Amino acid sequence: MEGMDKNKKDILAEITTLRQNPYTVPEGHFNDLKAQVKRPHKEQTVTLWGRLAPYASLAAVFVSVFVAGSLLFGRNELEITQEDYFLFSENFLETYEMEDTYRIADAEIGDSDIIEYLIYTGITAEEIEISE
Amino acid sequence: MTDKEIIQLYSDGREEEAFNGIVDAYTERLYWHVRRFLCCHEDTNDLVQDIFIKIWAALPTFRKESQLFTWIYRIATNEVLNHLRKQKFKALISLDSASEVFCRKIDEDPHFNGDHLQRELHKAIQRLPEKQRIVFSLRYFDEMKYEEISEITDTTVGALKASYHHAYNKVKEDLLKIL
Repeated sequence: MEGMDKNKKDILAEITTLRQNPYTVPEGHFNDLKAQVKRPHKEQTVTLWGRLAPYASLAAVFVSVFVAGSLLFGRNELEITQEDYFLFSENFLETYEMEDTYRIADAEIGDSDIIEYLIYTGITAEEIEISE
Repeated sequence: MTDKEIIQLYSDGREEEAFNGIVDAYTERLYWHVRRFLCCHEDTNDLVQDIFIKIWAALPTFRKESQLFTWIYRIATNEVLNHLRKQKFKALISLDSASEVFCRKIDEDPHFNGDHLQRELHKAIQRLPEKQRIVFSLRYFDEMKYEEISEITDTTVGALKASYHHAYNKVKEDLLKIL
């Protein structure tokens, strides 16, 4: 009987305090937040390159690994002469040093980059869970 | 400043003033909307700032015939959903469930001032699927009309009513268990 009453009870409607906001913020927070948001919004506008940079660095790392792997293990298949190899590696190092030092060598591809990439490619957390 | 005045400013080419009007009118509302999903004050603060950057960037695409309020909430809700998905992936990596992470955040939040039942209510909400969580929050706390939620979430009113009904019963059952 008691169980039945319990099931019938609409606690969400009856206890009106439940609709009240239990969270608080530090004093003066909203004024600070408004000032923060108003000031830098122009500089912070996300550019196309800003969005693509993490994926480009990820792709660059994959390409570098692939090229290095091909050079090390697949020289016969690629039919690269010794001369070509030095030419290529010189150019590669030059390009690497000039343009991508910060982007590749210092690119710390962390969990958040991988997560961004997975979301970008449309994979959901559920799909990963299923495949596991 | 009202939505009408903000739109008028924007139509007159005074984009910066219109944006500042949006910030003044919506910062607090958006903050509480986001906080109910993210629980943590610091995370909410960061996301609200990102949302305003998105609003500024998207302002040229705003169509004057649509409601400013639903347009802003739509951007905010999409950002919240993206954030929740990221949290879900992070939780997967750390072998935790996202709802456990959020429940822990509620327990550890120094800015949570509610009683035991309110704490359990907000934890129960974190256990709902994403879309149910959004409908429940907008309807139960903000008392929004289904038509408005429909514009924000791009979901039919019928589907929203069904989602809210499921969410409401799940939350109610969770709370009754602890009574």
